[in-house]
Amino acid sequence: MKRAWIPAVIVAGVALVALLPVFVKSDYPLGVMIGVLLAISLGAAWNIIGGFAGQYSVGHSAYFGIGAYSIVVLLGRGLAPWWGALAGSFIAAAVALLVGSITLRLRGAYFVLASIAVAEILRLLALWAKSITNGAEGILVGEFPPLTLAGHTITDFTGKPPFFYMALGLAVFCVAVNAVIAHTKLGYYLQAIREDQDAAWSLGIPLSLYKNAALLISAALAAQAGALTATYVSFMDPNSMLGLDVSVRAVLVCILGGVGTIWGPVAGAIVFTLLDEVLLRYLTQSHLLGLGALLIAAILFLPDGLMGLVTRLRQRSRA
Amino acid sequence: MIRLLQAVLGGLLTGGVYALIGAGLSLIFGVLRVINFAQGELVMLGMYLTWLLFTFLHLDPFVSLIVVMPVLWMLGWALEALLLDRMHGALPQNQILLTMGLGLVLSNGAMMAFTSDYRLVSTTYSSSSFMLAGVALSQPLAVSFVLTAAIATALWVFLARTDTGMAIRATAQDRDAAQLMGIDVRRMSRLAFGIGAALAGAAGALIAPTYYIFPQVGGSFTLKAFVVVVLGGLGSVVGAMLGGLIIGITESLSATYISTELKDVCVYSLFLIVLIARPGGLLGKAE
Amino acid sequence: MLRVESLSFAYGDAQVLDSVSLEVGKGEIVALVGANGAGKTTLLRTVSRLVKPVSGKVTLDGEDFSRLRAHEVVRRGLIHVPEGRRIFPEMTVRENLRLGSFTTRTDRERNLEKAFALFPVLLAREGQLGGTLSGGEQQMLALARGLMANPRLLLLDEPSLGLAPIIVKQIFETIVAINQQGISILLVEQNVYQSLHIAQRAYVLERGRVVLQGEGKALLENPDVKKAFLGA
Ligand SMILES: Nc1ncnc2c1ncn2[C@@H]1O[C@H](COP(=O)(O)OP(=O)(O)O)[C@@H](O)[C@H]1O
Ligand SMILES: [Mg+2]
Repeated sequence: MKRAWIPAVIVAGVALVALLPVFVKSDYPLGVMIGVLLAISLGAAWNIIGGFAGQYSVGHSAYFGIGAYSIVVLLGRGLAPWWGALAGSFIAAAVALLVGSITLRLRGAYFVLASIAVAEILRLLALWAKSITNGAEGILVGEFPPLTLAGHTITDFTGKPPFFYMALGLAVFCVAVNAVIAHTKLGYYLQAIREDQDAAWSLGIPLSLYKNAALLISAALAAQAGALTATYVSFMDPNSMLGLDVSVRAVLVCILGGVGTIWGPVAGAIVFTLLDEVLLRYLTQSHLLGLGALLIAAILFLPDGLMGLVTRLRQRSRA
Repeated sequence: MIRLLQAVLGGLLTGGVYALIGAGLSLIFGVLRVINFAQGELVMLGMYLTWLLFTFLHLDPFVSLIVVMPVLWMLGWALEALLLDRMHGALPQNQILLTMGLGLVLSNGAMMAFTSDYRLVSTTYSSSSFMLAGVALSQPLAVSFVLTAAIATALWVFLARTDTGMAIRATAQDRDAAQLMGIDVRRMSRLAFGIGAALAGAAGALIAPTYYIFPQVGGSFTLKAFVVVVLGGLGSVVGAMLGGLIIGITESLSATYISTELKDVCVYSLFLIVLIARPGGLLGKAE
Repeated sequence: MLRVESLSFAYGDAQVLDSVSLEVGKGEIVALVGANGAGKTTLLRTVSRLVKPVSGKVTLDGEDFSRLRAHEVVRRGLIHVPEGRRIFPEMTVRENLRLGSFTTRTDRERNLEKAFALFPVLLAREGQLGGTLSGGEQQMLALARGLMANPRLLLLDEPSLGLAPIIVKQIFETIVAINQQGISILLVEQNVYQSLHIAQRAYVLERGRVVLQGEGKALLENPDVKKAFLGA
């Protein structure tokens, strides 16, 4: 089954999205699109450990928050944001390695609970370590130094378009990582682990090695999503960056779109972000009510997500 | 020495409430094999109901138990029948997410209904205390501890001695075998969820005089309840009771000797340690 | 009294029962034998409504089971003693027996006396947790628990599995004794020789189909049965 047109369509699609800021000049739609792209990044990051490996972490706010705090705190200390973002991924990966080596042995509900506990510990520590994080009062993110190349200023990071391109780049990168994993040995092993850990183990697949690798990659990407989100919204506190909401959002995006599929996080992020915009308008601060209802409805009626629905429709039209 | 005694006794009193919430969670898990992530939100509903009864009908929060428990029981029954019953045999992850969604709906629904203002049930005794062995103890917490002990005993007698209670335990131990005894396991699931919700509601009513009431208050109770239940072993109601007291004491010892801000960090760290060292819970068999 | 008519069942695409028909008359012991994986357990689970068939019909004294749920079948006197005994491990012997009489509370004391008379060892172990009993004791408890529900028809799934020969003999004697009280029995066994010996009639199940049926003693002489099950 050769479908050579698929890469072409993808490249064209990304190029089309990249051209959007040229035509869309008002801030609101651009802001929504940045929201979609950031949600894709977070969802695609989660999808590696939750989707492919089947280890439902509900504590990804930990890595998201580490990325956010690393870039912002280091920026405040005078370190350029790209170094801060890189540092965030390294710290998140290191924490993931530590957390994974002890919690990935746990199964099912126990792993879920442990992942929440880890994230909650980090949130409480961030509230406590006021000298670094400014506690519950939060931090106003400092301005980015302009990006220059050979004396020319490329961008000074004012307005939305620079963030739009960074978010687009990150989203494409995260989805690409998913695609690569899905088509390599790592992806096959992770799926074997998801289907049946004991069977995978008896086939000689080193469970903890692959699960830890998945968590590490997932955490490093989630940290980038956090770093970009924090600098984009330009304000952060422990609850908004390390709270349970973030973790639930990561999972929900994938559930809506289709867990463990390459395009699931993309479809889920679009639906999620647009719906959340509408809900924010009508329910204001209770907008999570709608998300909760959405989550319930998705699980009851669409357990395989939108991609599952697409597959089912395709099978029906073929039959 | 007095400081230590104060911390242990104070922790015991709050631990009783955690025990109640945890026992409900454990019962629900035992019978339905579902971890109810909305357990804390049921506590929150119990608190608001108590607040309503206190504010508009001037009903004492401890007396309001007789209203709060049946109302939450019915709510739990209905939630099981409408949502969880359809999820039987579904992936555990999806069941967890379903109850998370339910929690979001309940807490944000409460925000719409009651705004996010902090509410208080300020009874005449809310801040009164008494001396025991040279230690000052909160009077409402002491009353709530006694009531907790009474409810826990009633629950134990129900589960251990009555036919229906035994049927619930049988359903938890072996669902198929229970059906072969003529037990309607779906009804038992409803009953168990109802009782679990009633216990959460009772906890809400019991702590209403001493806590701020706001829509997001449930989250931390849900987490604490997990800790309680994992310490005691998932599905073991007696274990949950013990776990609750341990958590209460841990919390209050770390508040006294480490820092109030870090007490929950200590609780969750203890949780992780136990989870890794004894996955079957403190009372359970180590795997 | 029990009629199973063209019962079929499948796990997904895997057909496990293929149009099985059989009958158990009043007061009979009927044996159902077959190799491992033939579908015997699945047949019993379908009859007692733990799983729903794809097609076919089960009736007890003319009453159609298609709309009943598993716990409702019990009240009609059809008691299924499942494979692997499935006693409640964290309950005492007495509590297990009490659950057996969940639908027959008024006869509880009388049935308890009868059960202890039939299996005196259970009286000695009455306060012990089910999970701590030996295999033979667990099987006796499972049988006794089934009797607590006033059965008219007992479905027994491999009651002798994994037991020492002397205990097996005792279990088979008990089955005959239970039958002599007027309780019909559908007996699933791997222990083909002994079960054909005590059964009036028997069916042989092979990959989800009934391939042979007849009188118990006659099947013992059947060359195919001899070759397949009796190692001759
Ligand atoms: N839960 C299940 N899912 C899928 N297949 C099953 C399941 N249980 C049993 N089977 C299959 O159904 C067939 C019949 O099994 P069973 O009724 O247990 O046979 P018997 O009791 O005669 O040994 C076997 O091939 C078995 O692999
Ligand atoms: Mg079998």
